[in-house]
Amino acid sequence: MRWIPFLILAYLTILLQTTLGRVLMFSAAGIGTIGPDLAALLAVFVAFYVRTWADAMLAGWALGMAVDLTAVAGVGAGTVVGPMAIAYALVAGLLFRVREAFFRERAVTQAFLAWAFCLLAHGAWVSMQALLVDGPVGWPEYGRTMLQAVGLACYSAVLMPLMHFLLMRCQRWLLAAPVGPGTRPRR
Amino acid sequence: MGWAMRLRTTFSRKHVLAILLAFSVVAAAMGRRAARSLRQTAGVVLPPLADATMYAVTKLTSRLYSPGPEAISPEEAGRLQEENEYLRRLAAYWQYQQERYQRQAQELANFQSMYGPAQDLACELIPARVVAGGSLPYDGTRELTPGGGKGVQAGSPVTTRLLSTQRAKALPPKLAVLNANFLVGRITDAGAFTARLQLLTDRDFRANVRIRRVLTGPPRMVNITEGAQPRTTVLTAEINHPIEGMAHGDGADRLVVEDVKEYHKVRPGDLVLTSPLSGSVPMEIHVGRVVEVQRAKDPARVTLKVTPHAELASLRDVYIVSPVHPPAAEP
Repeated sequence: MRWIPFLILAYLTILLQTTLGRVLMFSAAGIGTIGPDLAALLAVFVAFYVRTWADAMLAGWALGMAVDLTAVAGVGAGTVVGPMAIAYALVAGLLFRVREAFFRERAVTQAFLAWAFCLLAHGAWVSMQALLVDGPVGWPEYGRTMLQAVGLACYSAVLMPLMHFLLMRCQRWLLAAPVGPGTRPRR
Repeated sequence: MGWAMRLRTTFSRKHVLAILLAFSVVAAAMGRRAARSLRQTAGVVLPPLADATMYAVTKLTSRLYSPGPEAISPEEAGRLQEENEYLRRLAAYWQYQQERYQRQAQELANFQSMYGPAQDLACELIPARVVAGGSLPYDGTRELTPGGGKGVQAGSPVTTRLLSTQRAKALPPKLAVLNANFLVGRITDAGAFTARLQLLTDRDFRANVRIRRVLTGPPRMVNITEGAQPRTTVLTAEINHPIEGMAHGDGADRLVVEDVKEYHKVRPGDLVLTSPLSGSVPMEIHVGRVVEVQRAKDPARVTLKVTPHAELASLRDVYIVSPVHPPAAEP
C-alpha cells in the first residue's frame, strides 16, 4: 500500500464528495436526500486489492474518519466523530476476509459488495449515532434515516463499477503490490 | 537505522490500527463537544481547494436549475405584448405614486429623526461564502468562510446575498436590505476560519415563523371573534393579522409548519416569513411560500408545506445576520 498517494486520493475523494457530490444527490419523496458515498467506494476498492487485512482496515479507518469529520448532521441535532471510522475499518476488514469467495472483476459482484459495504457501514453508523447523540431520536426519524442509508447503498452500488474502472487505471500508483488476476508475478 | 528498525518492529500496523480504533471509540464517547473541536481543526484543510470546486459546482447547478425559454404561439406573443404595454403604463402610474409616497415618507422620517427616539436594527451583516457541503446525504449543512475575519455566533440566521447587494444602492442601509433577502438557514457551529450553515430544509432546523395571507385570488372566509361571538367574514386587509407558527425542515427540499388552525384558511401561495417575536431575528425575513395545505389528524388543524424562496442547490454567497445583542433561546 502506498500511503501518501492513498491519502492524497482520499483527500480528493472527500473534496469531490463535499462539493461535486451535491450535484449527484436528489430528493426522494418521503425519504429525503439520496446520494452516493464515494469514500465507501474507494474503501471497497482498496479492500479488494491490498495484501494484508491491516492495510484494508487502516485505509477504511482513514476514509471513515474523513467522512466523520465532514458529516456534521444526520441523526438527531448533531453527530459525533468516530463511529464511521470504526464502521468503515471493521467492514473493510470483513470485506477483505470474504473477497476470495467472489469474482471481483465482475461488475455485478463489485456492485453487490459495494452495496453490502455501504449498507453495513451506514446502518452501523446511523444506529451508533442514534444511541450516542444528545437528546432522544424517535423511531420514525431512525427509520427514515435507515431508508436513506438503503438508498445511498443502492446508488453507490450503481456507481461502483465505474469507480472500479477508474481506480484500476491508477492501481499501480495506489497499491505497491496489488493482488488479483493479471497481477501475479510471471515465471 | 537501528532505531528505525526497532520502532518498526515495536509499532506494527496492527498496533497503529488498534490505537486509531481506540482513539475513535474515545472520540465517540466524548460526544459533540469533542466532535466540534476535531471538525474545526479539520475544517482548515478542506476550504482552500473546496472553494474553487464549489464555484464550479454552483455555476453548474445554477444553470441546471434555471428554467429555459418556452416556445409560445404568435397569438400568445401578441397578447403578451399588449399585456406588457398595459403593465408598463400601470407601472409608470404606480412609480409616480410611489415617488410621491416616498417624498411624504422622507419628510416624516426627517421629522422623526429630529424629534423621535432613534430606531435601528441591532444587526450586523457578515458576508460569507459556501465552500463545501456535508459529505453524506443525511447532512443538510454547508461549510462557510465568513469574510472580514469577524466573529460569528452559533444560532445566527443566514440569508441570501444577491438581492441585498442590488438594493443597497437605492434604499437606506440595514432595514431595506434585510427585508429584501431570503432566509437560507442558521449557523450551528462557528470556528476561527469557517462556520457551519444548517439549511432550513435540514430535519433539525427549527424557527419561529409568521404566515402572511395574500389577499389576491378568490375571497376567503375566515372565522373571527369579536367579543364572545365568533363570526365568519371575508378576509380583508384590516383583519389580515399574521399567523405565528413553528417551522422545521423536512430533510429534503421543503419546510413544514404544523398545527396551524384550520379556521385561518391558509392557502397555497401565502407567504412565510421569520417572526420578530422569536428574538434571534428581530425583523421579518422572507422564508418561502406555502405550496400545499394538508389536513392534520385533528380536523381543526392543518399542516403546511413550504417551498423556500432561496435556491439552495446553487447557494454560494450569503449574509450572516449577526445580532448585536445575543439571540434569545428559541423553543
